[in-house]
Amino acid sequence: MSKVWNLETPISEEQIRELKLGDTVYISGKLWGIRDRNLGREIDDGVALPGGVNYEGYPVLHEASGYKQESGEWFFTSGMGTTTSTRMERWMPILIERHRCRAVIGKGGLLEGTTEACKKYGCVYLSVVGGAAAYYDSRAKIINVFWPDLDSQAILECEIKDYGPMFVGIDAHGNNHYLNLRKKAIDKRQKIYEMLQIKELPWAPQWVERPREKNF
Amino acid sequence: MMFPYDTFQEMMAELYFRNVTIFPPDLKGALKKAFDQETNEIAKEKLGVMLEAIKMGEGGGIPVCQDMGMQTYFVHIGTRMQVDGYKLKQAVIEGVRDCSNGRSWRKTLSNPITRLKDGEQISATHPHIYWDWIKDQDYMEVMCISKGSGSENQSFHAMLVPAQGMNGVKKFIIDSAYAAGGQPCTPSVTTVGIGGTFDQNAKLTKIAMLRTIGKPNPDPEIAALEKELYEAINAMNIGPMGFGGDTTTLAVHVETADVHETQNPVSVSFQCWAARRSGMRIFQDGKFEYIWEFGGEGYE
Repeated sequence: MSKVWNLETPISEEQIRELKLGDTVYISGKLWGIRDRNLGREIDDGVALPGGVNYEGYPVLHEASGYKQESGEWFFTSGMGTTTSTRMERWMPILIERHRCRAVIGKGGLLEGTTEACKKYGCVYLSVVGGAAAYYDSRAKIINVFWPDLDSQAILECEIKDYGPMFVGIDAHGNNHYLNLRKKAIDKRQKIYEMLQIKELPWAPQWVERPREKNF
Repeated sequence: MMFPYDTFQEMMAELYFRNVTIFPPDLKGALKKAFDQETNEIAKEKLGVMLEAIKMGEGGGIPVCQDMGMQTYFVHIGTRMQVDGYKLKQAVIEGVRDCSNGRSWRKTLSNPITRLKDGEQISATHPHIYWDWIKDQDYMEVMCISKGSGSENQSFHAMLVPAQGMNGVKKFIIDSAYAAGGQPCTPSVTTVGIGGTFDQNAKLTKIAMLRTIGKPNPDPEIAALEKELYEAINAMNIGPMGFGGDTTTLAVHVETADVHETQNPVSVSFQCWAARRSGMRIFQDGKFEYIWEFGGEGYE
């Protein structure tokens, strides 16, 4: 039976290890907004995080928001939104190991590397509804912006109140709801082909193999 | 009568604002139906958040999704209108700038090589506008589509060979739905282009987004294909936001174009649940009404 959790930050490792796949989570306290270019700057380019940024014990969110500053205060201009996490899979195991953040929040799910890191270092992945920025807007306030030269790719420090509902997609014990679901879906693939009477395709001659994403 | 270009630019700013803050009734209906029929508890809760987000966006005049994405315009001009095409183009583009800057919205537009932004949501190449004409009419219709990156990134194209036939086309669509999973913020609107030249083929997936959600293609054979693809994709149980459930796609829209006898191109692109589509019908004297699709009933 899935549970509903109301957590306050900072979150302890013991607390995080109690969460199960499919549990509903609301978090209040502090949250860090991260995304591609600030992850790249820190992890690929080796630039130290700016002073005042510390993810340890806090949730990090794959953020995608517009914001502005008015008389010293920061505001979201288009809600507190979430971007696709899967795109950032390659950085997440390193981030979790390095900073011991306790939750990664996003949409679309993460893969094997993150599942392993969550188990090893005590972290979970929480799924929110992407595209629903207007819904989450009243639950999050922007406090500070680090690396503002990155514009909408900067690191955001946010204050959150009952931020949720979020659903546990990866727990701290090696279980990944997305990978389970993907396996189930792929197991059905033959059945789906049959629904559409898809037969084996004739061989399409190719000069050399065409470029595919996996080649790069 | 001189067409009022200044007012037209204001209309275009308003159209863009409405595009991201007010959602089409057919889309809301499709989401509500999915919510009512969903048997998976978490999926139902997620669909509930989507419906609530639309309500809050519409009520508060804020974008429902923070990613206003990229804008595509389709402008159809009645042949009885007297307008300066260049001025129209400038007004459509400036309308996007006026709205985006006026509200300090997030800018998504970047240089593809340097990845740098110049802080504007418009450029010499954005928004992209497709032009067409309406025979013997004294009005023009403008449709705006905004598509975020989570969904546009889940776009797929293949130049299949004729020997692979419709069999290959269907397999490509299903394999694309697998590759996309929940990443395009499902439940999606699955848009498919079959035929045409390479560039025309991709464009068909945008044309497919101009349609009322779930309205079948007028060609019964294509409509049957849409129906069977709809059932097959939903049978994958990828569900809302890829978290499992009965609702993976709200509709499948297939558009076709005639093709060279030796080609068999197919494109698939998934539009997110926040399938933003809005339009305006504007007369020579500047009077206007809103529409939800080309040739559709006007309102307000």
